[in-house]
Amino acid sequence: MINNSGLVSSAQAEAIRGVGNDVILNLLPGSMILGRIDLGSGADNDTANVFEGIKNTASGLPFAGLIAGPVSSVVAFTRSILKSIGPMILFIIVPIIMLGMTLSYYLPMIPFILWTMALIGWLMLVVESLIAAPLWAAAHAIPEGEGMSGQHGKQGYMLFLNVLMRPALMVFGFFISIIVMQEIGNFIGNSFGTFGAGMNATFENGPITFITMMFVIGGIIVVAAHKIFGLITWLPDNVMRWVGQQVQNLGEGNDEQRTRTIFAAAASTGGSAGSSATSSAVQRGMYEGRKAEQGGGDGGAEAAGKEDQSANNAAQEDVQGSGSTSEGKGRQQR
Amino acid sequence: MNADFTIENGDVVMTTQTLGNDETGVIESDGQLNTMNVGAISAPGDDVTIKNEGSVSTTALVLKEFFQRVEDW
Repeated sequence: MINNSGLVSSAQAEAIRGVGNDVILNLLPGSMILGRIDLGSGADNDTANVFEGIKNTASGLPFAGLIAGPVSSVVAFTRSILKSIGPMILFIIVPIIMLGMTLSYYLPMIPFILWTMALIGWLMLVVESLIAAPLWAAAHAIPEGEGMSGQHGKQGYMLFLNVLMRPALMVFGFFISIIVMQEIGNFIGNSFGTFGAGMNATFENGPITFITMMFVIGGIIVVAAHKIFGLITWLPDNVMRWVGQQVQNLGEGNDEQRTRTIFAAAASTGGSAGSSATSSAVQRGMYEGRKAEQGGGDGGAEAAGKEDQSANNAAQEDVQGSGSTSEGKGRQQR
Repeated sequence: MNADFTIENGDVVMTTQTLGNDETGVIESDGQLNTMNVGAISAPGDDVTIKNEGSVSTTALVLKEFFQRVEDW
């Protein structure tokens, strides 16, 4: 192993030469290289780790003629490949991260959001009944119609029944939606696997297929969760119709949609930042690539060194971005 | 002759250093290993360790004098 942080200068022969097999050369910050280092030839596996800011001051070009043997070209080639595909990898990874955040955090929150909104809606209904109670009592005094309540007081009993029944129906809806979600989840998982295998039967599956399917199945699950856990509000809204009561929708679905919109807005904001950073990185990568090509007359070895600083800066900027995701419209508004 | 070597601060060594198997060569900061027309470090052995914080150089005689003068300045 060679750890160099000083001057290595050779005017005639290599300053360091004929080192044995599997040598690791670390050119640490502070290194100044004038000429050549010979790690030895043969079929061994020499490694050169060039740290940031190292330049071959003799040639004026990073890496050019710095290290004898195939090591320098391997290092430069690897750096060049990573620099070229790095922005594309980020472009793919950012939406995947957002999809993962949606499935990890938003999807489990759907029952809670819907339940909370339904609870708030019921409390508002209770307040409404308290305010309306004197008027309802007064309506009993109107003699029109038949029976104790008369024509005008009859409707109030059905509304009061709705106030009493709504919490129980919400609980029923919640537990039933959990049971249905488990079954539908199994159905989606099994049928989607079969569907995916059939759809991709005629061509080879690759990473693009995998990522696309991941987005599709993620979207299906989110939409299904919205629809199924909508039972929490669906049951109280619709069960009472069976006894002739036309219950107004309390708007829990709209409340949930507002929450979803806030989440989507946050995701799209992060996505815009991520896309901007990724786009910037792509443009910078293209610029650096052109610059490397213009200065690349001596081979691929020259391409990497000068790009170190900008590549590090780009990488630091890129990781700050995040992506966007969109979801299908979930539970239909009634 | 193979052997470990250490060139300490301010020392100047002008002979080629040779390292055999499992041997270590250290050039401390401000230490100089400067040879003329031949390699400064020859390390044919395996598992050799070289730590350079100073200067390892091979120079032609004229260049050596040039660098010496620059350093003196």
